[in-house]
Amino acid sequence: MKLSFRRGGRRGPLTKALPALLMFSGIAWTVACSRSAAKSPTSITDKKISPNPAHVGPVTVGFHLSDAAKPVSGAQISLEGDMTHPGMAPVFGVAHEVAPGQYQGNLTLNMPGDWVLLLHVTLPDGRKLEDQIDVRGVQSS
Amino acid sequence: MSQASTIPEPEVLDSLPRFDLLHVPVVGRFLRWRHARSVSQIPLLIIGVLMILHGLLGPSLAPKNLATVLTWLHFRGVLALTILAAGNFFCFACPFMLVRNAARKFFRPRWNWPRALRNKWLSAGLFVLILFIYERYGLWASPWLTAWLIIAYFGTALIVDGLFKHASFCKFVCPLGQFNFAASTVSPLEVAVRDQQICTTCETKDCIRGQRKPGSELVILQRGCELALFQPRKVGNMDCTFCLDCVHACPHDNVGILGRMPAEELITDPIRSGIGFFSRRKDLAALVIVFTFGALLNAFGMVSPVYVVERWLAKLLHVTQAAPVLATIFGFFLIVEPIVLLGTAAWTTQKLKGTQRPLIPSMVRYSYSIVPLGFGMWLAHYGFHFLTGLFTVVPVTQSAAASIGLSLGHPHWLWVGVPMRFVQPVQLGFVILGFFGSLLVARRLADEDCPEHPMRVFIPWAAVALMIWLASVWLIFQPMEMRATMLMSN
Repeated sequence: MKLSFRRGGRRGPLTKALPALLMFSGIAWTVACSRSAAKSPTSITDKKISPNPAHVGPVTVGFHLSDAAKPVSGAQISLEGDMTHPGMAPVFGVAHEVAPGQYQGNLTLNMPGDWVLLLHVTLPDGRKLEDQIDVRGVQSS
Repeated sequence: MSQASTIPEPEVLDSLPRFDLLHVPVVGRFLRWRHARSVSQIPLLIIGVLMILHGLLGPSLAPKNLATVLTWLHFRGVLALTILAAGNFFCFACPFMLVRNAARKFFRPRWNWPRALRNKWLSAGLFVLILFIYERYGLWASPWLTAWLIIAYFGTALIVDGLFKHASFCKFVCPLGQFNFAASTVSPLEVAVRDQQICTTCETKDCIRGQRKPGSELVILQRGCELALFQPRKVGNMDCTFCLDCVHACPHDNVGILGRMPAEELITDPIRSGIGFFSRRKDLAALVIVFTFGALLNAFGMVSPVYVVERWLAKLLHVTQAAPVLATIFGFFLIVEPIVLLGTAAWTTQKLKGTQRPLIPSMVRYSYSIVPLGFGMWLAHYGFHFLTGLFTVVPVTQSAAASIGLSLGHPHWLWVGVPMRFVQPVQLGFVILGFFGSLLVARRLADEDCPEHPMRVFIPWAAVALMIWLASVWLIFQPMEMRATMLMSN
């Protein structure tokens, strides 16, 4: 009896599923690689919020902006407060420089719960920077 | 003319033709089309894939991500409102089944679902598990976890239905499906036969066997019911995915999507195809108990008093971890509270000599009466998030499109939804509707159980409904707190 290996005949289930597996691997690879973005040398430090713990109502957000340990002056900074649960209106504000590299602004938190405050920074050279402050458990005033 | 003469007799009402969605122009024609389900599933599949991609690759902030916005605001809200207004049309358009059907072209399932698991215990447990994971890991606040939840759903559906025949995933595993089954018992539409007489003379039974190729019995041209619901003996929406396979398979065009009185199937106890007697199904009773008390629990997790309870429990248990505290709260809501409330009502009914049923069968029988209340609370909760966040999908979509270079305009982040002051009356309306629904079911069950003294049965169960309703109203008026658990933030 003559045995032969067929090529191009009926494909097995694994071969049929190969495109899907490849696509899934591609997605997984993209996800893994997307987390490693280049770091900016400019940093936001000494982030503070008062009152602490925060209550519903106005809060003051303060932080220090520096580049290679030198304070960065003249940055344009907008503040945004979002609740961690989707579906709630964000709140907006602006931070101003109160000392070289030191910025401060106000936001009005209008609901108890968990908030994330976003700092949208435009540096004097036009570069953009974002950072966030997690404010957990804002309580009723 | 006297008023009595203007009210038709019940027999006359029964003989009136029932509303049939399949006879409605356009909609009916579409649903009767063989590919209607696939065409409905494809957009949801595309949206599901986009949600997964955005959840994994997009912003980590939940209000800015399609995975969290669509899952926790829009999907849940639309789902609940659709079940209230029509029926289980989410299962009809379920994208998991589209993927499963595609996969079954490659992998033929070999086994039947294990006999020991042919009940709702597993799915009720998974339902509780999802609620627990939701609270413990704050799924609403994590696009990444939400995306993985969707992936896990697709994966589980593929694995289960890749290994086991028929619709094992839908009937015995899917927690979301069980939610839909329980909720759709109060829907105004059901898939049912138009004329029982035609079924009695039917010889092919294609609605369950499937349409076979003439002369070749092994070749199925149109699948019959995969959930083992034989149309002539099917009662109500329990276990019905609205797949409409029976509609397409019936050679006599005798299956429709018919109108009925909401919750009608809860007030009768005939033997049901694929289910048996409601009154003998402890697993099904456990499911509806989890469904109802889970509604209260899920809402309780988002109001201010939960902080106090969590802190108190943490101190009492000497723990700093969220899991044991949450487990205690879950145990109270889903085990202690139902046993105390339903057990007391069943015991009181016995003492009043209202029913001859033993304690547990009595609890099982009347547990179905609280389904409308449970659904009312889910509607109030999901309706709140849906309505107050209705328009948030617009800026999130604009932002997502911008991230891949498509311009849909500058995101309107202040587009949110209906103001809370308008939503609260709607929420109240839902729980009032649920309360009256539960009273009606309890009363009808009492009439059937104890025709001589129905009030002896009705009053204890009405008291249970009243207590659940009061708890629901109290929850609605509590200040909302959009948060993770307090202990997680420590």
